[in-house]
Amino acid sequence: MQTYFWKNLIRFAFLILLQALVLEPMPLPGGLHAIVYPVALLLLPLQASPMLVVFAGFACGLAVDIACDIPGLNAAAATFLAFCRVVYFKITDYRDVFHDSELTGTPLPSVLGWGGFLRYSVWMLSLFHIAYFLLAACGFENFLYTLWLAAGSFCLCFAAQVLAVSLFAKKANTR
Amino acid sequence: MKTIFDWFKRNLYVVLFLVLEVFSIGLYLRYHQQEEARFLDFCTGVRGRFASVFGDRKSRESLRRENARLQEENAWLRACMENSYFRTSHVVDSVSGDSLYRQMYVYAEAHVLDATTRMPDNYLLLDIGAKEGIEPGMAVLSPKGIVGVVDKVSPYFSSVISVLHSQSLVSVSLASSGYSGSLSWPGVKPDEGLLSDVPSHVKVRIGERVVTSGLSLVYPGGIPVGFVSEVVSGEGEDFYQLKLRFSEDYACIDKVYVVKNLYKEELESCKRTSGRI
Repeated sequence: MQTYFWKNLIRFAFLILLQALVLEPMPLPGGLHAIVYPVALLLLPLQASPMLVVFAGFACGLAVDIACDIPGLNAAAATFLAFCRVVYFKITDYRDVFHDSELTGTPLPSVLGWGGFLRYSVWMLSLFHIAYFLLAACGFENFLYTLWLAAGSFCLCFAAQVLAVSLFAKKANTR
Repeated sequence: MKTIFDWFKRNLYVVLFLVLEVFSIGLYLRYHQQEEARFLDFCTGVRGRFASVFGDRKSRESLRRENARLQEENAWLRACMENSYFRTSHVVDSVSGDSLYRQMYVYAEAHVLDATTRMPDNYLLLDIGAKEGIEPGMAVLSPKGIVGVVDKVSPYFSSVISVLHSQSLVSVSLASSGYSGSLSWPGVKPDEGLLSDVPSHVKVRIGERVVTSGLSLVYPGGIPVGFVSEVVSGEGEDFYQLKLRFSEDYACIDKVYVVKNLYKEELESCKRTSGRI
């Protein structure tokens, strides 16, 4: 249990600092954003309680907001992502994840299978990016441009996550 | 009560999510005035849309009442116009305590219940009848032009021979020169009439305004009729035949005015005496 706590805390800290110090100042073509810190929320332990997940989402987002000087935007989007994650595990095939002693640990391909992991990542990251960019736009003006930003940033984030999981969790990827 | 409490206990994370989400969005809008302004604009737009949908019925009612009031006001104003009066004294030296002008035309507003435009002989049905002083032979006008002449009258309704009728013949004149002619309807297009008997020495240009001449006992003078759209007759003829585009769209007339000539009987009596009728 303590291992999970420290592992997740270090992952949180690393991704928040990466986001604030490296990715946020980095200009990308087409107005795209590279947003990677949601990965920290996606990789929270499967059996973390819903209250903890939602609060962790808020805390993570707020930390990024403070670091990037955009009060509220990331906190709102990350809280929404955390809520969606809880709902996702409640309504999908993994609804027994809280009670299934076989399914423990981090939601990686080793636990969910590659198909399940990719499906989970696509849903969560796309919902996060749509919420983030809609909130940033504050309305539906230039909706297509907002969708373009969300899609582009989603692709970057998804690619980064799959790459990181493939490279850094090789041992745990076999099921 | 216990069920609600149990539900809350099981789904406390939903409440936490809502609280944190509202707090975050509030924080975001508080510190970003541009986004707050855009958000408020969006909310105003949504509120406006709801108000327009639910307030539509209410505003339609008030528009209907306002329309009726304006119609009444228009009838009164038309009665005040110069062409609704005739001059009683033409002797320059006379001094009269009465006004030089007497009311000749009064207007009653009416609503068109039915109208045809595609038949060879077209009619309209109005919601005003003998009870309100309507008689056969009265002119009917619209805000944009002439409509026709009252044909038959019942206590509460009247039938009008439209300008778009094979037997319709209206005395009109060119607004610029004052030369008069006869307007008829050839029965082809509902927006086109034929102006005949204008002397060929008169200079006519395309787009020239045509108005009622005032020479008949029916229509007051100066009422818009339409515009010259084409000169039909060839060179060497004594009179023009001019195609005229009506100023009124007879396919969508709604409100009209029935014109009562207060001196019609006296005028007709004069005509009879002089042998013109």
